[in-house]
Amino acid sequence: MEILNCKSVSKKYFTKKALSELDLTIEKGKIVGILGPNGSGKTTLLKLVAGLIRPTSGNIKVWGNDIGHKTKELIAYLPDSDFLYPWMKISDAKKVYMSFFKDFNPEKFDEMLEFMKLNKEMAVKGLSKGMQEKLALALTLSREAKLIILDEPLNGVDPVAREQILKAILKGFSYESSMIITSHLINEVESLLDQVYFLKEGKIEFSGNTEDIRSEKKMTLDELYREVFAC
Amino acid sequence: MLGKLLKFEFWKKWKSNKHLLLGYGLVELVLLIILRVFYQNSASTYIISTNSQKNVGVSFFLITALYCGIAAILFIYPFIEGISRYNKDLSGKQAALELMIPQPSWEKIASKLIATVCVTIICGIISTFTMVMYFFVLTNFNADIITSVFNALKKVFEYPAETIFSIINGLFGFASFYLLFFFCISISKWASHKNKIAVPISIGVFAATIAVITYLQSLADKFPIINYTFLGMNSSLSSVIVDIFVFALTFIGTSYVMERKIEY
Amino acid sequence: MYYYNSTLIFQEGGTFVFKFNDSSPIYMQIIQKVKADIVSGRLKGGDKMPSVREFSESFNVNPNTVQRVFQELEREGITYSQRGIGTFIAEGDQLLKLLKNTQAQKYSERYMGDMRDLGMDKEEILNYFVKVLEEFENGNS
Repeated sequence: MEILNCKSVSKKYFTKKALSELDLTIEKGKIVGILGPNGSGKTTLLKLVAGLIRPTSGNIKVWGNDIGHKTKELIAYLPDSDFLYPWMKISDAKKVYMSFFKDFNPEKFDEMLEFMKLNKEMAVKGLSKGMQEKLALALTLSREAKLIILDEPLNGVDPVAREQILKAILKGFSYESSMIITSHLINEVESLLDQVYFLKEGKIEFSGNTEDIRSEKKMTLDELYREVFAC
Repeated sequence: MLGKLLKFEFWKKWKSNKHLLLGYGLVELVLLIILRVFYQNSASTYIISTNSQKNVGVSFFLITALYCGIAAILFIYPFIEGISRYNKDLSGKQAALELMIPQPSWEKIASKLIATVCVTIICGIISTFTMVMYFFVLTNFNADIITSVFNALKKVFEYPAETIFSIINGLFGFASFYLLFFFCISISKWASHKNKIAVPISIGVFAATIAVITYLQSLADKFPIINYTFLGMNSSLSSVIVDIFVFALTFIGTSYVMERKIEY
Repeated sequence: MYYYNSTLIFQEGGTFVFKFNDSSPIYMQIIQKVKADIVSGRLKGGDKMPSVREFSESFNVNPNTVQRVFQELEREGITYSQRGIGTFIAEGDQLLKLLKNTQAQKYSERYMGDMRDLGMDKEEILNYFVKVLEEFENGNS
């Protein structure tokens, strides 16, 4: 069964059409990159899959299920870093996740915390942006979800921390699930990706396997991106 | 399920309000001590005998007013907190977390309702207790006052059926009140997360809903089915049916909107 | 990543990071790196390779890509795997010699290609090479 199947998905707002008849399929055991300029519809697509917004038309199925609170159990979505209550301690956040998400692995979380050098007793309000990002990531990646969605996981994070985050993402990988990553730092995420989709103005401009792109087009992903989005 | 959500809601309320509660306790305690220490004699005579000639001074009144005012604020606070919290849950920074929780929306609403009603009752009890302490302390634990308070409490236990019915009625009333606001807020959030648009819409929905409820109640008055008197108030079966109907409708409506229409 | 005896020790933060600026497929670049390490002696016959997951995490590379690397290496006879224990570098001088020759050929071809891009002819290429070689030898003694 496919992890994700989007058929002819559109999302229209009053003022614009964010996504137009988009088709996308993701098999299990893959790390997929969705790349594109701001406003291309990446975040819209991710929120649609996560069930945070609803499509205007089209159909999305996750592991064969329609989007609903059943799929929320299957999907781990990385929200913007400050989605936790400021008075929470890291141990509190862990308790919340453990309580509501059956697939949350507390040992994995503790490992991630140690890896990211975060202390359970720290309060969210005392954390820097980078640390909040790392915490959000640790919580999301410790869920053994079927589909892990990371929207700009490297946002606002210094280069050293970025390296740690990339490693953490790989630690969270499993052959039984898949991941979707968006990022502007194409150079840094390229080596993580199996497949890539380029989104432009709500449509898929290009898609392919990352290694095939290199052998066929003799370009890195970054170079290809520049070519596709040059105009 | 519901249990987990309830625990979560109570925990949220406790964590974000415990400092307020502590502050309240301290402030009222200090005020009470001031009143007792400085106004002991004049106060007790003033309270016990209604036609006292003694001059108690403006400052006494001011401090008493402050004390009672703060107690009143605590009484009202849960209403404000419950509604603004629901508003934040739908479109604040933590909305993502709320939305991500994989439980059906009706459970989420039910847990919020129950938690808010419970907190309302708790604050009400604390507030009342604060006022009772005022009378006790300032009259130097005057025997008459204490006995009259306990008599009032005894009355409650003497008529268990009426008490239970009142309590249920009260709980239902609180819940309906909050639910009405939840309903209006969720519909406004369906339209937009921007306050500029959401607030007028919620006011509009509020007005419309009140209009519908009033109309239904007037229909109930025309066809009462059964009339009864309770605690000196007249009521009818139709009226009860209308209340339950409105409650169910707003609950289902809010659940539907939260499940299918709200976006983050 | 450091190799030590027959187990691998990973240095946190990594002193070695694949840049992947080269536009050839990543799995090929990794294979090249492994071959170069064997030739230089950093990797010896009998050394144990890290697991796919460990490799993936240390180099920040997709596990499917790493899987392909391992498959290729085994196919070329550079590594062999023992079920349940792990993957090991093939032993024997033959392998070393073969790799050395292949790498030497590759590097020479690269030098040739670069010099030709400059427009040098056969004689100039040879002269430059001898010149640099002598400088290198003088520098060493």
